[in-house]
Amino acid sequence: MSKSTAASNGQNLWAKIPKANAELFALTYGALVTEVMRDADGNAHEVNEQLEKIGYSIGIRSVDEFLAKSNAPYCKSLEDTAQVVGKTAFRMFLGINCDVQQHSPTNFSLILQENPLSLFVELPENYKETLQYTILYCGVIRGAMEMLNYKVECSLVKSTLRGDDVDEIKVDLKQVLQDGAGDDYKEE
Amino acid sequence: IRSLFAVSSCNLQLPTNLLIYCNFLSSLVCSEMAAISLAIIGKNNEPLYLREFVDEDGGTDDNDVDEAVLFGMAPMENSVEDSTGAATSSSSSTFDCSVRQQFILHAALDRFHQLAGPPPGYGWRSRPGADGMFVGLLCPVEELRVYGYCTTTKIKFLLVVEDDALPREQQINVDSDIKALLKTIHRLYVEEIMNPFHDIFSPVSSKRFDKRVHRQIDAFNQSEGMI
Repeated sequence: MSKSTAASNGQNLWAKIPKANAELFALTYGALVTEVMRDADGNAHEVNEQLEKIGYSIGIRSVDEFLAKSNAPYCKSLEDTAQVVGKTAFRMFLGINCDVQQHSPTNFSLILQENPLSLFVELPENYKETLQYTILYCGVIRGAMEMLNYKVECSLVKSTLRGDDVDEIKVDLKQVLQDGAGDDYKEE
Repeated sequence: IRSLFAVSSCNLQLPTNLLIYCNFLSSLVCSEMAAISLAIIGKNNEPLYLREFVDEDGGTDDNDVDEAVLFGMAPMENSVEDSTGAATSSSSSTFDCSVRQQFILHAALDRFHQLAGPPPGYGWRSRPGADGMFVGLLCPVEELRVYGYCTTTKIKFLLVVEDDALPREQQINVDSDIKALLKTIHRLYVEEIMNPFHDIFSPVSSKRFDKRVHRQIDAFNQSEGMI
């Protein structure tokens, strides 16, 4: 799928989809993060894990919505998938433009110039290095890809909350899963 | 202007001739104005943010020791000789604001309370919009004037400005500039409390907020004043 059609597809979808207030979205996510922080007693690694899991459950559901609403054509390789994720999907759900950098056939990066989740947010000093506030995106991508039989590992490489100028999410393909019939039906 | 002279001649040792001359000169030239310090007070009159922007004496940290004694506050030997530095070691040591400014702001807060507080207050109540929230001049202190701004949620902003009392027409412009500055600071404060990690009941400890406010004040000082 060429880059321009992925982007224009994304733009059309964004125009049609119902929208929510960006401040409300950011504040809700902020409240969620601080609540998870309180539950985890301030352990940043545990909080990161929880947020990633929350992202995962969002991802496994939203991928179906995405495929139903968009006319994304069949992706022949991970490069195509990267374009679809970065240009169409992110545009459709978040309204942001995302740059896609392909590092290798199994590895790509999404560069976000603006991040609607981190509106108004400033991390306190003691969490600046450890808390990965927008790790939700990593979970979403991981969940979505898993439903399409791609096992990926996502990580937050750069973050504006830590002082970098953009947000960068690195996606690494680990394994292409086979369609299984589930544990119950496994032959002994 | 007369009242300003009266106040100043009582309190200061400077020759009044000099003062009269200066005031006369400055009323001929453009208005000379600089924001000296800012206080943000919460609804229970707890300090949220206190900051001094200009060392009007050109003074330094040493002054704090003398000032503390001058104002009858017991010189806090331990905290003053702290390694953290004299500027922040006044009795409410978390704020970067000299003792004299804090004293002025406290006094102005009393006046604020008198104007806008519960009965028998003067009955000033905040209305929506920057115009409704601007209380105006609270009190003059020597060469400084303190302006107040109170939001509907009873968050009070106090701004100490060094300026000269001007004839009515020019003073109105000055007032509206100060109102605009307080409105901007209000907006910056709102953006700060939207940060999910900020505890709204505790003082503002964000460097980002500090930097932004400083930038606004610097822009104001440069556009208005000669400092």
